[in-house]
Amino acid sequence: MKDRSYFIEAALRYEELLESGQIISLDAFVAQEPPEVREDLRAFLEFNLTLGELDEPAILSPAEEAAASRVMALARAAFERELSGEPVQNLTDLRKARQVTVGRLARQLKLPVDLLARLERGKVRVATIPERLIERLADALQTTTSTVQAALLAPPPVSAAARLNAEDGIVEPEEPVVSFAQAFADSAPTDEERAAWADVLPGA
Amino acid sequence: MTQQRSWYEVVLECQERVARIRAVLTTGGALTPDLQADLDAVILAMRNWIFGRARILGLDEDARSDVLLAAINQLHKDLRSPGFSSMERRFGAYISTTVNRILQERNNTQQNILSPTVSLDAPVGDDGPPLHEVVEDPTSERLVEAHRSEDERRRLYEVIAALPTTERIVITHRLEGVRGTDIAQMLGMSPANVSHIYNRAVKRLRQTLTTRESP
Repeated sequence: MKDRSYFIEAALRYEELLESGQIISLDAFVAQEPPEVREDLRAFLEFNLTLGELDEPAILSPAEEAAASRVMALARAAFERELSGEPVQNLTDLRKARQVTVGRLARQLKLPVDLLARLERGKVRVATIPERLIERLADALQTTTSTVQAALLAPPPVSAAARLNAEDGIVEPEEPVVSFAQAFADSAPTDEERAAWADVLPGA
Repeated sequence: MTQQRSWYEVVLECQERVARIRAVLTTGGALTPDLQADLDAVILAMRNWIFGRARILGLDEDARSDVLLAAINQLHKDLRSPGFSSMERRFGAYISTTVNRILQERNNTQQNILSPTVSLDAPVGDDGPPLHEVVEDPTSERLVEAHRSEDERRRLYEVIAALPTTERIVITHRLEGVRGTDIAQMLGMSPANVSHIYNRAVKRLRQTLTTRESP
């Protein structure tokens, strides 16, 4: 299966052809590409042409500004870690390196254990994780916030169940990736846990 | 007094920064503080456009953040890819295409944003008539009619020449009298999607001409 870069590059090639004055139909263009990607590529090219270039920039609300800053900090930390050549550790690796169990770390953070386990499985949308949790994880794991940010974007460990299912050819429905607020609500927090995170999750 | 820069100027500036970063990263060099500042500036310039696009498509706040994160991660990856030199020449197209691909991937899994095929019953703009009523809209011909003098007409064609490729193709063909459905056939697209491109182009032309012509 071709990755995202392939589709982006193919769309840019198609646009370059149009720009050079060669009006070639989408069908004729995709016919030159590998058969297994033609259908998806054709749909994407039409989608891309229809949506067109980016519109005017939006003026961001304070909440959006904060969300964008959080995302940029996360991505930057992960990129720096990647460029440094150091092995990328996920949250489970960081926790195990400190020889702490999920339960103990969850109690330390005043988080439901299910939520922390879900975070480690990569099933919480990273962009929605509160900065305060990143800071507290860094404190608890005696590391830097950028290490935690990079860990949150690192691939999660492959679960034993997933390995067994792959060997047996069993296909189970994939666990959805949800926002931090949703994952918190799903994990039936105690009153103490609710109180501890009330300022970042007012409705929880 | 500060002057607001156009998208085109911002894109050109980003393109230069991207070329500087790629010259180092694709040859195994390290990201110096200067290059990190270039990268931060590029991402800062992109983010409001990305949020704007995601907002128009009705994505909620969390989903907008997801799209921004995916776009930055993709940029980081492609900056190091020796084969991705087109981003140094056509950065605006690269970013638009990247965001559109991320949106389409979301669309494929969630079916919650704009369909790749626009419905002919969808309104044009926020409260315009249904798209099928304006498929063969003569606005572009009227624009030419309104620009009678040679000077005005030259200005109109200058603005058309600066349109994004697909919009330029659609508008130019329409001005040559080619029907929207024939353009759709030529490009292999649905007539509704061609109409969508055409309407966007007309809107952009109007905006640019109004801005230029107002004192």
